[in-house]
Amino acid sequence: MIVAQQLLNGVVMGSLYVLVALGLTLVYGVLVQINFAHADIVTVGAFAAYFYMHVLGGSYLVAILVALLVGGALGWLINVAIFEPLRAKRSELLPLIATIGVSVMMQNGMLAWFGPVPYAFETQYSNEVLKFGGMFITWQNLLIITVSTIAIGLLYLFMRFTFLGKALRAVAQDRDTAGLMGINQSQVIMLTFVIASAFAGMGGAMLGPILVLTPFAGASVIVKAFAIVIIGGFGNMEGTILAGILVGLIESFTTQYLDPGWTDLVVFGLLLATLAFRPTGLIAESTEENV
Amino acid sequence: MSDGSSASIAHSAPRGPSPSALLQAGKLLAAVLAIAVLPLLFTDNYWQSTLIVCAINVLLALGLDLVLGYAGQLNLGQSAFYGLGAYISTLLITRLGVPYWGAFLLGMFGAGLAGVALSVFGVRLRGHYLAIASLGFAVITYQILLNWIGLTQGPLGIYAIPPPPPLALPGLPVIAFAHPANMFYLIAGFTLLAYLLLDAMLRSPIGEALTAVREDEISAASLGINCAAWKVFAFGIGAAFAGAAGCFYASFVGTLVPDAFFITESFTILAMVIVGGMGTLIGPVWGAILLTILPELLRGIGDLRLVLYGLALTLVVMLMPGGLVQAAQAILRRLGPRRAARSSP
Amino acid sequence: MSTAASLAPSTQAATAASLLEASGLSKNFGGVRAVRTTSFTVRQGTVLAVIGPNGAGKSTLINLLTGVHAPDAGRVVFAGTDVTVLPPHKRARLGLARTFQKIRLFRQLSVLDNVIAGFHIRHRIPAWQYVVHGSAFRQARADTRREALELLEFVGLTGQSEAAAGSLAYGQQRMLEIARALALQPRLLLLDEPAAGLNPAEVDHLLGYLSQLRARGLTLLVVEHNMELVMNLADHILVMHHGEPLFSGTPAEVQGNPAVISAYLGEDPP
Repeated sequence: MIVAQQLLNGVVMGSLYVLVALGLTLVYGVLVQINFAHADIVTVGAFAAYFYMHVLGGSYLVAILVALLVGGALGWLINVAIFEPLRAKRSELLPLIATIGVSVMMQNGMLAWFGPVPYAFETQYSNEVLKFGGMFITWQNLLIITVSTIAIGLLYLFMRFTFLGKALRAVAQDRDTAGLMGINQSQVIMLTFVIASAFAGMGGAMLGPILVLTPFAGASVIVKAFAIVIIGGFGNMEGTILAGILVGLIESFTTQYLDPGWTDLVVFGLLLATLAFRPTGLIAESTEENV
Repeated sequence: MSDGSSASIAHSAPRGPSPSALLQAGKLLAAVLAIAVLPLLFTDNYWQSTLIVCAINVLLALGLDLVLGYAGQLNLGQSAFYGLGAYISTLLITRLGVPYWGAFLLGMFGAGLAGVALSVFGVRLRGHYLAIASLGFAVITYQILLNWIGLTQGPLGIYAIPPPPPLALPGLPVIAFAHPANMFYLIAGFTLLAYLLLDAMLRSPIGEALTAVREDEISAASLGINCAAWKVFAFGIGAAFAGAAGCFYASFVGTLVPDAFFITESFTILAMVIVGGMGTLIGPVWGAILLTILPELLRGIGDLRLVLYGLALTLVVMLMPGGLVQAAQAILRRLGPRRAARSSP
Repeated sequence: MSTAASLAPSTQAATAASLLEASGLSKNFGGVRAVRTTSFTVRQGTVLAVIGPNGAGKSTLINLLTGVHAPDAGRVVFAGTDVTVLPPHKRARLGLARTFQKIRLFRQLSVLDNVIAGFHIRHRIPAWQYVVHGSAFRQARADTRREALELLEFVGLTGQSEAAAGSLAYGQQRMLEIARALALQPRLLLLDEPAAGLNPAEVDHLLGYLSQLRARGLTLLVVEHNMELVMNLADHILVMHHGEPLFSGTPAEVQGNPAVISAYLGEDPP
C-alpha cells in the first residue's frame, strides 16, 4: 500500500531530522543561541563515517560511533572557541554571526578538500531489502529507525531521570537561579554542546548512505532542522520530536504526490506559517516579562 | 537572559562631533576622483569587470548595513532581493519589451516591496527568529527561481540580456554601456548617490530613530518611536538597494541563472558588512572592496575564496567586532592622541 | 527660565480635571493574577504615588498604563482619549512619558544624543530635508541641541553631555533617563521606582528635581518603595496589595491606616 510505504519512509527521514534538530533545540534551550555550524557537523560526521569505512576498512556500526565522537569533539571545539569567549558580551546576534562564519569556513573548506563530486557512501545494509506486509524497507532504514529511537530514548531518559539531565533543564529554565543552586553553568553548557553535536555527527553517519554525500549534505538538512525546531518550539524536546516526524512525513508525501523539488518550499512555507500564527515563545512581547 | 534587543552588538560609530563640512567635501571629492580614475588605470577587461563587481558588492553591502548596522536586524534574505531585482527587471525587458530604465525601477521597486513584505511578517520576531525567517525567505525565493521553469527557465538560465541602452547627452559623444568602463561609471555613480542619500538620511532624525530602534526598542517606543514602522522602512530600502544591484548584475553579466542568488550570497554580503564595520556607513564600503579585491589579488586561491570570507567573518566577530573601522580608529588613536576622534572607552 | 516653558502649564490642583483614569484593570500572567480590578484617577498637576509590598503588581500596572502589556479587562483613559489598545509609541505621542525600573538608556550613545532622541517626535522638519539638509533642518537641529542641553542642565549633567551614557554613575543614569523622558514635553510622567539603587544623598537630589517638576505643573505618577520620597512628594497615595488597591488617600491618611501597616508587615488586615 503506497500510503503506508510513504508513512514508513516519512518516519525514517523524520527520525533522522529529529536527531539533527534535537541538537539545535538543546543548545538553544540552554544557551538561547543558535549554532549555525550545526549542519556542517552533520556533514563532517558523514565524511568521518565514510572514511572510517572506505579508507580504514571499519564496520558501519563502528563508523556511526566514530561519527558520534567526532561530532562531539567538534561541538566541544566550537563551544570553547566561539560561545565561551562571547558569553561576556551578552549579545544576541554576535555568536550567531560568528557561527555563520564557521559554517562558511567548514563547508568551503570541505569543498576544497573533498571536491564537489558526490561520494558513494555504501554500506552492507544499503541494498538489502526487507519486505513485510506489502512494504519495503532497506536494512539501512531499519537501522536508522532503531538507532535513532534508541538514541532519542536514551536522551529522554537522561534528561528526565539523571542529575546532569535535570541540571541541564534547570539551566535552560533559569540560568541565574541554577547557578545559585550550585550548578556549574559552563560545564552544563559544554555538556549540552557535546551531546548536541554528537547527535549531529551520528545523524550524519546515517544520512550519508541515503543522501548525496557532498560538503553540502548537512546544509540540505539544516533548512528542515530549523523548520522543525521552530515548529516544535525552541528548547522543547517533545515538540521537536513530534515536529521532526511530521516534517519527515510531509516530505515523504510531497515527494510522492508533488514534485521533489518542492519539498523545501513546502517545509519552509510551513515554517513561515508557524512563525506567523503560533506566537508562543517566538514573539518578543509575548514572553510577558516586566520591563 | 536576553532582553530581546540587539543593543549589545558592538559597533564603533565615532562618538565625536560631526565632521566639518570641509572634510566631508574633501572625502566626496576623493571618492569621485577615485571612481573617475580607476577604469583608466586598469584597462584590461578582467580588472574592469572586477571593478564592476566591486561596485555592485558595495551597493549590496550598503543595503544590508542599513538593516543590520543601523536598524539592528539580522537580515539573511538579501540574496533573495538581489535575485528578485535581477529577474524582475530582466523578464520585463526580455519578455515584455519594457525599456531598460523602466524595468530597472520596477525591479528595484519589486525587490523593495518583497523587503517590506518580509519585514511586516517579521517585525515582531526576536533576532534569531527573524534571521531564520529571512533565511527561509531566501531559500524559498531561490527554489522558486530554480523550479518555476516556465517563468525563469530555471537552471538553463536567461541569455542575451542587453546592457542599458546607450546614453546620448547633448554635446557629448554617445556613451555605450557595452563598454565595461562606462558600465563601471554608471554603477559606481549610482552607488555613490545611494551612499550620499543614506548618509544624509542617517544624519537626520531618521538615523536617530533607527539607532534608537537598534539600541533598545522598548525605550524607543516610550519616546514615541514606532519601531515596527522603522524596521519596515529599513528593510524596504535595503531590499531596494539589493534589487538595484541585481538589475545591474543582470545587464552586466548578460546571462542570468538562479545559482547566482543562492543563500551563500547572503553570507557573503554579511561578511562584507561585518568585516568593514557595521553601524558605520563607510565600513561596509571598505569591507566590500576588500573582500572583492583580495581574492582576486591572491589568484591561486580560487576555491578558498569563501573559506577566506568565513574566516574573516569569524575572526572579526571574535576579535574586533567593529571591523575595519574599529581597527582604523585604534590605529589613529595610537598614532596621535590629539588627532583621534573623541571616542567613548 | 526657558526650561519652564518646555513643561506643561500649571493648573489649579483643587479643580483639576482627571488626566489619567484606570478602570477595572486586570492582568493575568499564565495563571498568576498580577493585577486585579484596579481603578484609580490621577488629577492634572498632582502627584500620585503607587506603593505596596513586592509582588503587589506595581510594575505590571505601569506596563498596562503605558501599553507594554494589554490588559485582560478594563480601560485606560488618558487626557480624554481611550488608550487601552494603543501601543506604547502612540501613548507617548499623546504625552505619556515614562522611565524604567531597570534603566533603559541608549548606552552606546552620548548623554546628549540620548536626550535628543527624546525630541524625535517633536520635529517639524519637512520630509525632503531629511535627504537634502536645508536651512529648516539646520535650524531645527540647533534648536533641539540647545533645548537638550537645557534639560541636561536641569538635571545637572551638563559637563558630561559627550560621555557615553553607559559610562555614567548609576544615579546620573537615572537622571539622564528622566531628562530624556522630559524631552517629550509630556503631560504625565510615569516613574518606575526612580529611587531604586540610589544612596540617600541622591534620593534627596531626586526629590528636589521631582518637586520642581511638580511645582511647574507636571503631573507625576510614581511607583516607589522609598517612603521618604513618597511622603514628601505625593499628593495622593495608592497602596497596592496582591494586585489590587488596598487603600488610597493622602500621605497622612496612609501612614495611620492599620490595613496598610499590616500589609507591609505581612499580617492579615484586621
